[in-house]
Order: sequence, then structure tokens, then C-alpha cells
Amino acid sequence: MTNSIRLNLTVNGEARSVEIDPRRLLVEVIREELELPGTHIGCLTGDCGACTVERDGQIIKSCLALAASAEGSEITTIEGLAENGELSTLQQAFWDEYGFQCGYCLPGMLFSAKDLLAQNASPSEDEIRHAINGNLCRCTGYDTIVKSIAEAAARTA
Amino acid sequence: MIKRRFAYQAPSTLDEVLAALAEHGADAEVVGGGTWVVPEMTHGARMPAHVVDLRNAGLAGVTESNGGLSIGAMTTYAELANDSRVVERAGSLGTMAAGITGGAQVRYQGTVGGSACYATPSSDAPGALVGLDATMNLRSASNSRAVAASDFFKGAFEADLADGEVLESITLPAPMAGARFGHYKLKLVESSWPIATATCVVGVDGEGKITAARLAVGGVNTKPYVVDTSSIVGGPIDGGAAAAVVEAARSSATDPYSDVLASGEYRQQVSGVVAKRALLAAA
Amino acid sequence: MLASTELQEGRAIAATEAPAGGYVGARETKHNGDLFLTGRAAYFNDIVLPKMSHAAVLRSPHAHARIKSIDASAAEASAGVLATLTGAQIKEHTGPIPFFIDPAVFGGKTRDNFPLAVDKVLMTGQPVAAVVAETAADAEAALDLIKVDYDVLEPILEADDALKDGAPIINDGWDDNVVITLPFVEGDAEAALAEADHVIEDTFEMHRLSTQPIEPRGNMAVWEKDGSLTFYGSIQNPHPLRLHLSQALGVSESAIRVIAPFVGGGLGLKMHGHPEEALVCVLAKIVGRPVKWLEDRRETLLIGGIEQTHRFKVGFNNDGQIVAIHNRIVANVGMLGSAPGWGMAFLSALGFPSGYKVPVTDVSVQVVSTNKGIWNATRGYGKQGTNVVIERMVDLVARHLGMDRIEVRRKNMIEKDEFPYATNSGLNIDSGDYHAALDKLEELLDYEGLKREQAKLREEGRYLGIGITFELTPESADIPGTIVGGFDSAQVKMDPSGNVTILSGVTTPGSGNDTGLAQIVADEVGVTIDRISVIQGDTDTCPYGFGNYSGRSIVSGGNSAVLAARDIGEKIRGGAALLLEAGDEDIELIDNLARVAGAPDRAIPIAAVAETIYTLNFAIPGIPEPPLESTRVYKPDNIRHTPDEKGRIQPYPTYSYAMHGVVVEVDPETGAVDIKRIGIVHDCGTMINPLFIEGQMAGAMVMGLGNGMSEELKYDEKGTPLSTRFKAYLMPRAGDVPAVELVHQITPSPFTLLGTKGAGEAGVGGGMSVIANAVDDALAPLGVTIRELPVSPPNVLKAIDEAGSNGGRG
Repeated sequence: MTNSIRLNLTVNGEARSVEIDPRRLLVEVIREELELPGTHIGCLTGDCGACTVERDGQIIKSCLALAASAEGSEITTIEGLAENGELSTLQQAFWDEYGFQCGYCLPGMLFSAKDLLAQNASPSEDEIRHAINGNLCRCTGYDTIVKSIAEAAARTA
Repeated sequence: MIKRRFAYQAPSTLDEVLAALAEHGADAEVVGGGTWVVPEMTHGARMPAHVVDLRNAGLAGVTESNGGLSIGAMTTYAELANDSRVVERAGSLGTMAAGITGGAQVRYQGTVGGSACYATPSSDAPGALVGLDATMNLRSASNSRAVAASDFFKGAFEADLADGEVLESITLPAPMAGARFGHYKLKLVESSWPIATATCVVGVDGEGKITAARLAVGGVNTKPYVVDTSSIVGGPIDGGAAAAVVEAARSSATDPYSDVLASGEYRQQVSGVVAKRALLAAA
Repeated sequence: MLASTELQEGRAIAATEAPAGGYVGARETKHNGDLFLTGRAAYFNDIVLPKMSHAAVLRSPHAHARIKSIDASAAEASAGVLATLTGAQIKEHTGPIPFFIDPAVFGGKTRDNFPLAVDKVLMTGQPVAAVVAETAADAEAALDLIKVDYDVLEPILEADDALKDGAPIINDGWDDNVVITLPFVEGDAEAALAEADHVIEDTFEMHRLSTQPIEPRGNMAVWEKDGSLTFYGSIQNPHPLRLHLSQALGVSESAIRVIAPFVGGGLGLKMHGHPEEALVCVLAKIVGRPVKWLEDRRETLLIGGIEQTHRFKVGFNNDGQIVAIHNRIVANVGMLGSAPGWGMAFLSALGFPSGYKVPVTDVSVQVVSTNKGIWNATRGYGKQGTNVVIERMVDLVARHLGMDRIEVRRKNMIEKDEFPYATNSGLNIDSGDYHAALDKLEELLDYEGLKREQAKLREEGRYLGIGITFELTPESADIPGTIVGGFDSAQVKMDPSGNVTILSGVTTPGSGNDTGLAQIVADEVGVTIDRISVIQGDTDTCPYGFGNYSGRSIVSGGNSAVLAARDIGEKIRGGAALLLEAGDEDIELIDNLARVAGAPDRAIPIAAVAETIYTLNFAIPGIPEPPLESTRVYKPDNIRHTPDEKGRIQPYPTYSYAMHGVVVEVDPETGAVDIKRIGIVHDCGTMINPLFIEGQMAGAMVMGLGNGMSEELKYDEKGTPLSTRFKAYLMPRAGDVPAVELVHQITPSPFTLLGTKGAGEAGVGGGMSVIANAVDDALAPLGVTIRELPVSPPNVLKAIDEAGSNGGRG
């Protein structure tokens, strides 16, 4: 590709540098060039939230970003959520409370929950529901997701 | 991956942005927060040959300006919602920003300036900006001009923004004395675009009487409109004032927008309701 | 070797212990959950093959047109393009796509569906050409270069228009636009209606829906060097798809391997018959490389379902007894596709009169083909059509008589001592206690308290609504002559290390039956669940099965696993009995140990028994024969395919049910519906894992509420889809719904081994019916009758206006 560009970023704590086509979406580069397929594509319109990752401490929908615009940023994906090989409190709570069924929306739900809990250590049910409004789930009816997040908050308290 | 090949640049100054746009004209697409234009490119609805990314051009941030505020075009919804000056001097804009559809992600990514430039009738920004009597500060390589928000939105998906021109900032005037803000958004369910929005700024004196009022309705007509509030000045924010704005808002819903979610008729029907609720939210 | 160490030391190896009382019934967490939580679970789009190429599909922009010519030469020459294919060429490569359920089996009309339209398109979005390129972007860019010359015809979008005398016939060779008409008649409805104290005549419309799992569909094919075909797909039914690919492509079934990796939600959408399945196989053959096609969400949203109108009369007496139902259903199935969706219309009629004892019913459904998109299965598979309309009828009766809706239900529901109960349409409902479920719901909701609150709020001009509905979900269907199978298979294998592998014919597109299978087998074989692996979705490794649909996975797959696991358990017991010098019948298998009942010190690790069976088989006379493997099928009872004197068959073994209660507040100024509470009493028989049952139930209910409240696939007058993304096709988000309050009731099925009835569908119809009834109830003071779904704000406001009220909008 003649007009490929080099993208330098930190992914899950590791410096990475990849050659990309500027037409690539961030989600595509994460999944394909960076070989981290745990971030999912559900709609490519920014509606479903399955592609949510963290960029410089803020959660974003990675299908709404050109990969090129992530130059120099720090990205965390679902593959980077575990701590020293152990599931995080949040991940464990999602497992214990059955906070996912097919698992496809799970990366996005985890990041929306993480963003919420970083700002609000003991959210109400309404606050939890509001915080995951950017993420669609078609399996759970959200009940167990809300419980998972509340449980994670309780375990962290 | 976006199907049409393009050249990408992210200039580090506004002047370089403007030079790039002057060179490429209609072949260029400006990317701000990306939440609108990137999926349009993904799906082939926009196929630019050049993409100019504003992220390094220094257009983000809120500053104070003549008692009001100047909002850089790249300021995100999250920044607006969390800025105490916005809450004090343009509270309705903070309410709007906090209520943007799409979750925290879109509030971190999306920009009020970007949303304004696409002039989508069923979006939050146009009505909110007209309600606050905002001024849109536009720049091109050869010109700069300031346009009132009520003139900037010319119709559905039509803003007063020429090829080569970029929105640099949005100026909000100093709020009126005793200003109170109200914002109300009606959408069908959480997933939906806004159907109708209303933004209200009222000045209220020590006796609770309205000294001045400005109320705009978005989403109902193809562009936001200002509701005639002259009849409520001098009285309190009460049921009578609410009834008056219902009537005034409905009578101006003469060019209703229709889309897959709601007919123009429905939008007309609820225009008064949203106006009333915005006024009461300011009480 | 772990096993031999264990053998020498003779120690227990249980890292974990089975829950007291066993795994079945325990709230076991998701099998392999850590894979999902850390992003390591591989879905379709995560599969990357060497030399993989990408397909894109050119779709018709017209709903109804003849294709005069297609010129793909410019696309062929475009950057990165490997091949193009048009409808004119498709027949050289494949036969028609076999129907999942052919209407011809029931005497209806059929058609040949090829992966690309050959000469005529019947829906906007129908594939007309395809491109394979090095990248998906190159393939999509090349689509823009294909020139198609269409002779555009007038589209017929509404079923009533398609039924008019002289309406253009959209399928060549048909004599009208009706696929099939299916009547279900018991008694003389006209006479019964004439004798009834009261008759209500009304209509109900259910608009077009779609399932929309968050993972879209995707298919990939690769022809191996030996001439065999490997197919990867986000699909629900690997073995049946293998048969249909074999039939379409003319390739031996034994030369095809179908693999379904982890699936990001199926919900019926991923039952096959879609054009892109055979298409990728054809394209992969042409380019000699793997070809992947990944669906875009706009493509997913082309596929619909449910759209139907009921025109009904219900006759009832002064005491609330419903005596007759007459109902004419018209279902708009769009273009008749090969996917199983159209059959949902069948179910909407078959299900009457649900769990009510209505002596006389005359229900028929006309299945009409139009120029809207094809149907595919939507979770609930048409049962929601029955459910919504009969529950509306019951509420209409209650309102007409001024009786409480709960009393009318009590009066008409089948009594618990009447099961098994033969319905008017020939179904045989296995078991249940509907009245007890209704009692539990009343208590859960504090129904009387709610009514008082409603009365109080009405005085304040607020519109609280209470919806109560019953939902019957026949499960685990077997339709003769189709690949809808009521039985399924399992293979259970224990290796010399004492680890167990379950290979299942059912698949788990997110429903979690892998966990349930592991629980069932763990109890039968006596190993802890961490020693169990589950393999599904691979036709080369798994025994023949039908995959996932119809709430069947635990009924058929689970019970077959019981049988296979028991075979293994028997051999372990036999081996242990020899080694422990006890009788077979004295050996119990638990926590990875074979032990003599009542003598806890006389125990041996199950792994040691397994290793002994494999390694000392000649040395120990009488030790059971290897391998420790068993493949079994489970056929539930109660299915009857021999037609009765009225020609009716009984395709379902079990009938799960639920009682739903929802509280809403309606904003009469905007039509917005705020759901305050959701209460459910659910009975799916024996529960293998309540955590998963609750998950299925809550998910189905919220899906049903979305179906009933906000979701609709809309078209413009030319037949162009308007609901092209998730800001236009409005699925529920977390903030749209409250928590689900769920109470279990358990009446085991007498017709299945473990007493399971099937879960996963109940809730969808319930959500739709209960939201309709709740909004109707809320607005009763304004004289509103709800006659359509969804009860979206514009539709609610319209209903208020039609009732002559303006809801106080001034």
C-alpha cells in the first residue's frame, strides 16, 4: 500500500508500532494488525458498543475512530483487563453473576462498567443502567449485567 | 475498512487545517470527534479523497469570554457536562451534553461543534445552541465570520458552512440577570435519536417574575425555531406560562421534519409538550 | 503421568467438590467463562485462514424488478479483485438452496432460491452479484462498478394488497401470492358465536420485527486439497446445514465439514437457508482460496419476521367463560426465502387457544408473499402471535364484562388435574399448574395493592397500567419430513486420566447449554465439573444432531447426555467394584471418587479406574471393556406424527409456560411508556441451572418488551428498508427496563427423562402481550383500545387520538 502510515501506540501497557492503511478503523487495527480479537464489531455505526476500548483513560467506541487518530495514545482492550494473570474483581463478578450469555457485548460492558466504577465506587441501580446505555445486549435483558456491576462495587468497597 | 482510498493528515495548527481545506475543497472531509463522519465513511455515504483530522489543531476547551463562554469546536460532550462554568452560565448545554445518546463513550468522543456542523434535525446540539443564542465562529483560509446559530442551521442536514470552512468555536453570550436554564429531550426509547428537544433560558427577578425569556425547540421543524415567549414575561413560571408556551411552540411547528422514527405530525403534537417541560425545568 | 501418580498414591484428586445435592439444580457459573472474560473466546470473525480472501454482495436497490443484464467487467478489473459472480452464472455452480422447512411439505407453494437472483428480484437487498477480493474494502469498492440494468416493477408491500383480486403475482409460476393457508378448526364457530352471550369483533396488528443478535452473521468456505469443503459460520445448526450444502452443491455430505465457533447470539437469525451460505462455497471454489463473508448490520436488518394481522371474533358468556374464537390471520412473510422463518406463521395459528379451554375455535392463517424482506426465525418462533392476540382477547372480555382480568383467566385456564390436555389444534400439553402460577404472580406483584395505587393515581391524572398475561411455549419441536428434529445426540468420553469430554449434537449460540450438559454429566459420572470439556458445533467431531432452536437443547441434548453418561458411569462402577471388591450396585461415584456406599475409606479415584480399564484390560479379568465412550440419542415422549382422525399431529413433547405481570406508566402527552415493574412466574419443569434459566427468562422478556414497545422494521413506499441501524431499529437498552422479578414454579414434564421442558423462548411473546395489555389498561380511562404493536410513543398517541382524547396536550 503506497500511502500506508505508521501508527505508534501503547496497547495493554506494551509499546506497539504497526504499518496501517489510513482507511482502517481503530477497531480493525486492534483486531487484525494488533491481533487482539477480543474487541468485537457489532454494527460499525457506534450504536452497539461491542467495540468499546479505553483510550488515554476514557472509554470510546473504536468503530467511530480512524486508527490513524489514535497515534500516540494508550489503549486498553479486554485482553488487558486481567491483573497479573488473575481476573479483575469486575471480570470475576461478571462470571459469578452470569453477566454475559453469548459474550459478544461483554468487552464493551466491562469497559463501561470500569468507567463507571472509576468515578462512582458505589453506584445505584439507576446509575449502573445509565452507565451501560451505550452498550446493547440482546441476551441478558441487562439484569445480570447490572447485578455483576453492583457486585463488583460491593466487593471493592 | 473504508472502501475509498484517501490521504490522511492531522495538522498541528488551525492555519494548516485551513490551508489543507483550501487546497482540497469539496474533496476533503473534516474529522472532529468522528462519531458522525467516520461511520458515514465506513458505509460509503461520504467518500472523501482527503481526510483532515482536527485532533491536533488545538480547538478543544472552554474559555470565558465577555461574561459568556467560548467553546472550542473540538470540545467533547463530557468536557461540557463536567465544566462548572458551563453548568453556571449555560446549564441547559450541560444537561444536553450529559444526556447525549450513545453512552459515556460517545460523550467522550463526540463534539458539540461536530454535531452542529452536520445540522441533523434529530440531534441535540442545534436546538440547544439556538436556545442559548449561540454564535458560530467560522474560519477559512481567506475569511473569518460569525454567524448566529439561528441562521447557521438552514435546514435538514444543511448548515451555513462552505467548502474550505471550519467551525473554530461557539460563543455563548453572558446569561441574562437571574438566569435559569431548562432543557428537555423527548426520545422514543434510550436507543433513539432525539425526536424533539427544547431549551429555555429565563431571567427571573427576586419576586419570581420572568424578566426575559428565550425558548427554542429542536427536532420538530427541519431546523430549530425560537418560540415567542413575550406573553410570559412579567409573570411567574407557572401553569399559565406553560400553557402559553405550549400554544406558541405548536403554532410555530409549521415545517415539521419526518423520519423513520416519527412523523412530522407526531413532532408537531409534542412540540408544545417539550417546550412546556423545558420551561418548567427552569423553574 | 497424573493418573498413574494418583493411582500409586491412591488419593482423591478433587480440586473442587460437587455441590451438596449434585450439580443439577445448582447455580453453576458459565463453562469456560474465563475465555469470554479475557477476550479469548473465538467467534466467527476471529478465524483467520492463510490466503483468506473476502466477499462482498451486491444487493438489489429495488423491491421488485426483472434483471435485464449485469455487467461486472469493470469490477473484475478493479484493484484487488479476484473474481466476480452474477446471477446469470450462479446455476453453473449450485442448485437452489434447500428449504429449512419447505411449504410444499404441507401442500403449499415453493420456489427455487439461488444464492444470487437469476432473473428477478423480489426484495430490496436480494443478492444479485458478488465480488471476491483481497480485502473486504476492495470487494466493496468493486461492487460500485457493477452495472445492473433493471426493469423495475411495482412493488407489493402489504399483505392485503397482495391478496386483492387481480393483484400482480410476484412469484413466477404461482397463481396468487399465497404461500399456504393453514386452517385449525374445532367445532362450529359461527353457531357457537351466535349462541354466546356476547361477541367482540376486533383486529390486532403486529408489525415487522427482527431478532438482531449483537454478532452479525458470517460464513467462510475453504476447499481443501483433497477436494473436501470446510465451512465456518456463525450458525445454529451445523449438521442440517451440511446436508443442505451437500444438496445444493452436489457434494457428498461426508466431504463437507461444518464448524460453528462461539456464536454471538443466534435467536433464530442464524438458522440457515440464507443465500450467503452456499455463495461463499461457490466463490471459494472459483478463486481456489478461502472466502470469508461478514454481514454488515444493514444486511442483518434486511431479515424480518412476525408481521401479521389478526381479524377475530371472540364469543363469551356472562360468567366470563370464553366459548368460541374465530380468527383470520394474515402473515406477510415478504419474499419466500429458504430460511425457516415463514413457518412462524404456522405456529401463530396452531397455538390457539393457548392454555385456555375454549371449546370451539376456527383459526386459520394465510401466509402471503410480498416484496418485503424474507423472514427468518425470531426467538419465540411465531408463538408470540398466538400469545399476544389471545391475551388481548381475554382482556377485552374482562373489560366488556367489568370482571377482573385475573378472574377471567382463572375461569378459562386449563386446571392442573386436566393434564395432559389435548388442545383444539391437536397439541397435547404435558403438565403444569397455571392457577398456582397466577396465584404466585398476584402475590409477587401485590396485585390488589397495585390496583389501589392505580385508582389513586388516576385521580391525579396519571395513567398507571397493569398488564397480566399467560404465555404458553411449546418446545423441542419435531416436524416430520424436515430437519426440525425433536431428538438429539450426545457422546460422552472418559479418557485414561479420568477427564470427560462431551460431544453434543446441540449447539450453544450463547444460551449456555454447554454448562448444563457439563452439570448433567458431572452428576452421572461422578467427576467434578472442572474435569469436563464440552465440544459442540463441529460436524467432523460431534455426533449427528440438529443444533439449536425451539428450546430443545437441554430437553434433547441434555437427556441424551444423561443416557451416554450413565453408560460410562456403569463401566466405572463395574471396574471400581472389581478393584474394591464390592458389588456394582454398592459403588457410588462422586467428587472424582468411586467409593463403596457407607464405607468412605473404601474408595478409588475414578481416574484410577479409567486408567485401569485402558491399561490393564487383559490383566484384570472381568474389567469392563474400553473405550469409555458412549453415543446416545434421546427421543422425548409425547411427540405423535401419526395423524389423528382430524389429520392433526403433535409435534411438541413439552410445554413450558409463564405468567407475566408488568406495571407501566404512560405519559399521555407524548405517548411514552415507562416500565415500572416486571414480574414473572416461570415453569420450565426441572431446572438444570436456575442461574441460566433466569438469564434466559430475563433476556427473553426484555427482548419481548422491545419487540412490543419500540422495535419495527419499516419500509418506504418503494420497499426500501428504513430501519437500517440501531438508532432506527430500536432495541431496549438498560435504562429502558427495570429489574426482572422472577419466581420459579416447577412441574416436571412426565415425558422427558429429567423432567425438563425447555427454556429460552418464554418471555418473548409474554413481553409483547404484557406490554400491550399494560398500556391498554393504563389508558382505559381515556377509552383507548390497543390494536397494534409496537406501543411506540407515536402509536400510543395515535391510539389516544383515535379514542377521541388528546391526552391533555392542550
